[in-house]
Amino acid sequence: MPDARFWADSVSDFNAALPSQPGPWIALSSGGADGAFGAGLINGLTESGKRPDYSVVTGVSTGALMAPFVFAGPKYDDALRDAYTKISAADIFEIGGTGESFVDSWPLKDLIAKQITSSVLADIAAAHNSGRRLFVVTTDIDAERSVVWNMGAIAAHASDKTGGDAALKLFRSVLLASSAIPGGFPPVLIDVEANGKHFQEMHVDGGVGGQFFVAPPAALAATGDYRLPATQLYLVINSGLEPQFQEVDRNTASILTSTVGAAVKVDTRLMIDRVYAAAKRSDVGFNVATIPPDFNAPSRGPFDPIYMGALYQAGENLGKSATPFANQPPSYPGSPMLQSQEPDKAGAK
Amino acid sequence: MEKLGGTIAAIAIAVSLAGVSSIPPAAAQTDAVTAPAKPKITLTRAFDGVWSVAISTVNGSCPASLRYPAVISNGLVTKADGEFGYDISGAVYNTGGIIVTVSQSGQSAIGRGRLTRTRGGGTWLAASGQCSGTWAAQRRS
Repeated sequence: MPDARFWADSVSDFNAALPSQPGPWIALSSGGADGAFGAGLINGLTESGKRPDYSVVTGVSTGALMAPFVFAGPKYDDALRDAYTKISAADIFEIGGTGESFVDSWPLKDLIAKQITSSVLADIAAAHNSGRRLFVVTTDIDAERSVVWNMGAIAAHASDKTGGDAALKLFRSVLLASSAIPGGFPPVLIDVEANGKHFQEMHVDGGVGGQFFVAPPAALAATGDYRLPATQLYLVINSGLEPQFQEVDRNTASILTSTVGAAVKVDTRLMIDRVYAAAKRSDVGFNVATIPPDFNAPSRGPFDPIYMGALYQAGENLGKSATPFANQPPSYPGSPMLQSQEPDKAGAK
Repeated sequence: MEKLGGTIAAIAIAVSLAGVSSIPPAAAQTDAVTAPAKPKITLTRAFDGVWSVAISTVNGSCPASLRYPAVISNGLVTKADGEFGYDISGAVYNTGGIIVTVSQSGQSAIGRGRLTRTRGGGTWLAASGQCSGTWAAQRRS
């Protein structure tokens, strides 16, 4: 499948893969269980009649898992809702190391297989053949580079008399890989062929290369002059961007999880700013939605269905509101430290 | 928000009390005329294999859901080879009743349930009494 993918840092390959006509683009970010926000937002947009046919849909990590449904259209709104409100941690991972990760992701692999059927791929292929594009990002850690998978092109191969099963398998593997948090979930080995040789590439979460994908880094560079060929740009950020004070348990998993979570917030803000500048330079409308700062439902561990249901509802309410998106990046936090967080009053020497 | 290593979701799948309570007194077993012998409760290898147990919290603030692997060998339940961070021990009986204790970070729980050849389910209760819920098992090999 020569048209199945390209390096995420290749502007020329990116341009070649884009639709022939400008249109609205939507980028769906990483966020794990917080993808419930984006799922609710999208369905809320449908309900309020504010959801265009996005000409380009991109997804990273949990954004990748929802991207096929968003791309295939409102017909899949129920599936999108169920994917984030009728699952729990037991549907995503199994405790216990695999030698490559802290947990095993076979439940998520099974879940993807149930959700991504030949019928779904047929609808995605039809949308692709109409000129729209669905991109999902993974990270090739052998090469230390992000890869953009042209999922519509892959779906189009699913109807081949020969190779159809391979296309379905690849489509599912890419989704699993895009959400394979390194160290947490096992990497996904993808069979490839190059120069007549067969081998396996190791792919992990697309978030390693950025929490969402709009265009290659060079196309977004502050010093560049690349103009995004879109009419509107929508960013769905499946996370809150405000720091949240929470004591971290003294174990490896908690420390890693909290550290990565903090780094992701910083990275996401920087990326939003960068994309905003590129959109302004391109005269493209900029729109961003993030989890509202006042959303504070408690979560009983990972992928708590009650928490996810509340977050889905918050997203849906926002999607149905008069202003689902902001037209500029969220402001940076700069409020004074709370007394309980001040190092000297917390006993720091 | 999400802490894989946080509070235990330690679950136990306990004895099928119905099965255990049906064990007749030794004296009664010798009296075939007045009290026919009931089936003997023994460990069984019928369920030997690799299982996966999904645990759901119904009451309490324990994690909403977690999944653990378990191995049944010669009717005894242990954690899967190479796994870490938690312990599982228990036994399966020829009635399908099963007792398994799962513990992690110094906490544990007790429950009860029953297996069929490929599935299983039941309820659990944390030893602290702070959480309880259900479990569902599926055989993986």
